[in-house]
Amino acid sequence: MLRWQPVKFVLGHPSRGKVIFGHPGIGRAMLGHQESHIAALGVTRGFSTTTQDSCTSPQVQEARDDGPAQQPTTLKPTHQPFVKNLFLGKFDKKMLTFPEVLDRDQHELLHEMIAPIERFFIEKVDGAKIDKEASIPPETLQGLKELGLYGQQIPEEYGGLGLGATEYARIAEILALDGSIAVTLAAHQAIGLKGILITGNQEQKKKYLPRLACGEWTAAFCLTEPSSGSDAASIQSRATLSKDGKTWLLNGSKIWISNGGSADLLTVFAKTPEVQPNGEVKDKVTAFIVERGFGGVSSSTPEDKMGIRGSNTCEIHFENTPVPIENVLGEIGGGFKVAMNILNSGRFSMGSSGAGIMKKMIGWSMEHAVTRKQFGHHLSEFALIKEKFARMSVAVYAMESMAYITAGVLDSHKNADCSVEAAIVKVFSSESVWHWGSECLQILGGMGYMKPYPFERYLRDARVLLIFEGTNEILRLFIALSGLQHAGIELQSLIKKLRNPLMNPGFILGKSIERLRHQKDNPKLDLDLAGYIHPSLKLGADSLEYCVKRLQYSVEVVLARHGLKVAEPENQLELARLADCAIDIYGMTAVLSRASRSYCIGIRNSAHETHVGVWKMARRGEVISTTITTTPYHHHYHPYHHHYHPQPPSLPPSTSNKGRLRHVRMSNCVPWASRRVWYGRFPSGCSTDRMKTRVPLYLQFYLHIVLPSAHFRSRVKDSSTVVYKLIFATGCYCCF
Amino acid sequence: MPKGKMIPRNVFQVEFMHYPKHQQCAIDCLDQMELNGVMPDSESEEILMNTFGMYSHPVRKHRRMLYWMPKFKHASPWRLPESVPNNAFELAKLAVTRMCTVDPSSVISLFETKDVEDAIEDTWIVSGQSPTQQELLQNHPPEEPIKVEGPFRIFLRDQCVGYFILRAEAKPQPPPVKREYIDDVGSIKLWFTGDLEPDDMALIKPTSVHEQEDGIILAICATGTSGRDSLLSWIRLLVNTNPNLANVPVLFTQASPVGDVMTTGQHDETTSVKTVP
Repeated sequence: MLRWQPVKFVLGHPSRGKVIFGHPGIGRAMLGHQESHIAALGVTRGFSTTTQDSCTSPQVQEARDDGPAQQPTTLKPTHQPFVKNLFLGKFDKKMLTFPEVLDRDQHELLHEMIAPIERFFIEKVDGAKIDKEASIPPETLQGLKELGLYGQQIPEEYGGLGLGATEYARIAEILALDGSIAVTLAAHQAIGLKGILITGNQEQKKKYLPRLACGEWTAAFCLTEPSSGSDAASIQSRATLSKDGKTWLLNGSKIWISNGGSADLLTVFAKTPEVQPNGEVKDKVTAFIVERGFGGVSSSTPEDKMGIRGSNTCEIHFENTPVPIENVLGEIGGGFKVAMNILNSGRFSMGSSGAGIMKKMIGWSMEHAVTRKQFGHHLSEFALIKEKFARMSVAVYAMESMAYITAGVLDSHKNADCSVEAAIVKVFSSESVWHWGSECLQILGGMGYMKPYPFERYLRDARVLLIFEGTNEILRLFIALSGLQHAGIELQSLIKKLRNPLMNPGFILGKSIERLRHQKDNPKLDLDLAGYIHPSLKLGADSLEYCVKRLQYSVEVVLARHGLKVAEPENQLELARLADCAIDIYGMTAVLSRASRSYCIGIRNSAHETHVGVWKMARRGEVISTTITTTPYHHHYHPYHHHYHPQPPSLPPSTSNKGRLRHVRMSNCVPWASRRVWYGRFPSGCSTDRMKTRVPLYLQFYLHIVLPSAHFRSRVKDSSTVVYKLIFATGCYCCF
Repeated sequence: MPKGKMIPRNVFQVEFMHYPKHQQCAIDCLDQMELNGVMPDSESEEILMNTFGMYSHPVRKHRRMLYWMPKFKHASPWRLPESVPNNAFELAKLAVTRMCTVDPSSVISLFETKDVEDAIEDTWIVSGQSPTQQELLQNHPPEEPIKVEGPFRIFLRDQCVGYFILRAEAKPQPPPVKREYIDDVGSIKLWFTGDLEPDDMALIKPTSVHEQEDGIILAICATGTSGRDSLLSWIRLLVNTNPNLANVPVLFTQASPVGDVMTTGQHDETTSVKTVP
């Protein structure tokens, strides 16, 4: 069983090396040393995605190190919530430097750990059989236990692997090769035992984590009931204290619990009566750790599902289950926060598992497209097919970037509040996987629809991603309302004045003059984001700046329009649009930051990444099609894999199979551009050795005219024109 | 209506509504027809033309009615068939379904008084209630009485159905949320993360359509006989789906029927009758 070896030396020293922004040409050594070297010791890094008032503490243990200096974990800096501040127009430029969490040795260790897992999945896991029989064979589960995958985030002192967020996300990418296994493991560790990790006290951890880490016991998360899915506060299971005050008696039933049939440890949420200070008795949610051995726990037959059929999903009934008071997780009445923290902490890994699924499917579809010939052409020569591949590559790149930037932030900061970012990753990834997975099926044609092939199984497995762990609709509202809540605190007085224009005429006049530029859809771009990334991505940075400014403006407009009623059910359409904007901005930031980094340190194919990144910036830009003969974008590709050796798929040898030369043909959609752009090889690190034509002029022109301004304009326009009309109607002179 | 007399003959008569009161009377008559959905025909047009002349107001209105009413024939979502069934049971089902469409989750139930023990009358009952109303009844305090009121009339074309309602006293409306409260965006609460207290929910929780100013309607029914005993059976049958109803006192506001044969032992039953669970 692979484990982390404690690293015996310390990289860097406590006072960080200076990061020089704006000179990304300088080699890696400078860029890398931000806050990441705490990771150098064999410090086990749990993490916490917490909201401000949660009662958790970072689960970072003291290192088992023989080095001279004890690195206290409090050296980790704090992190301001990035997306929440976006709603105020504050852009944290540190996010444009992609966090590097693993140093070279940890990186190698990670890849040593990954290799046997991949082998296991390729050789020993039979996905079709799991799907057909709707169960995972016990040998497979045993193999997973032996690989240590049941305790990925459990600290080493309890027998787990003690992985941080980044490693966890990387492994999730591989586990996604089989949906049922991924969900079984996720239900066990990402939600089932996460409560104990985050909120448990020492006795609870000592008692339960060792058995859970080695897989002797399986965990499950029991929150959903027949009458409350998204509305977790309305659960009806009850727990009453016994007469002697030493046991809670649990009564209720939960449905759709993953691992329900086989779980020995359940994190159950039930309502407990709580006496308020004014004497009233209210019901509040409390979290309990319930062992199946307590008695009174019964589970029904497994449900028959559309996808992830191997995962065991069933109802669980509790009849007077005695739960000792030591098994209360967190505080009595604080169960809701515990549930939210648990769910928030596992979400970001969906980005990388979605990327894993998509890369597998892109690999298959690509193989099909370059081999199959119709009408005398390979499918890959048709522009419609190329468009699909291009767009889905962009989506996968964005998914990966977002997942890993979130993981990096979680790993390198103390108590970082990444709840909104994790929600964004989840929404984007689940929808992309569903949509582009369907497009992959489209490319595969009839074959994609047939049961004997694995393609449709992946799509069916991927459908549940939009539903569980918070439905995408609820998460959109969460993203928007969290941002608005954060922004509302600062904008309180401004909004009050905006909503009472007749009472504050002078203020309104001044404000409208300020906003004149916004009225013309031409905000002042003063963030200078382009100064923080490689110059070849300047266009992208400018469009990102534009988007951030427009988001800030639209937040003001929405808050001024509705006030506190912005949270009402009928205003959800505007909230969803704000959330979509926030999702896009976060995606853009992640992509820009990653593309800039990979170009600066000279990762292979980084020019392609730059290309992809800039195109992603344009968002609705024209399709840039690439005939990929060698593998700039194979599923083994990974940004952290510095020594990347391309593994070409089993392709027929094609004309320019030289390994580094890639031939990019502009699509036929660009009628005046039929010339080819040759990308030569580029050395690592040095940016002076630029390629002849990086982003051709006509392409720049394209990107310029199809900026996300079009995207944004359509979203913000409605609200601004209505506000305009409203203000006009009140008789005030204004152009907002 | 005398022909020819009231037709205007010169410019001044045309200008100033010749025989205004008569024309207004005709217009009111046509108004009433329009309200009740009765369409005029060519014969009535002849009469009006011969009486008031071709360009008079009643004739103009008549023509307008002839133009617009066919267009609005399908405006009502509760369109009735051309000839409404004569059968009282079908009519009652139609009527109760119509009235309950105000809440799409209403459930129409058909009962027989035979199923209730100690029922004197033997008739059918068509009852309509929605889960919202059931909840309202569930949360109704057991001290406050609720009333069975009726019979009210609903017309389906030319047929009339009498229906009864179960009504509780109106709850006072919560005070409208103050403008300053809405303006203050410093404390937006996420309603799905359990931050909200019940008082904050006032901004978000809607009052249902059943809570009106004059009372809270808890159920509707129509029975075959519309007699008090059938209503009693109705209440007894409702208790099956609304357990709290057994604890609430129910008042029947129907007067005893005129001319009913009473045995000498019975009292005059205009006072309230309490249900016995």
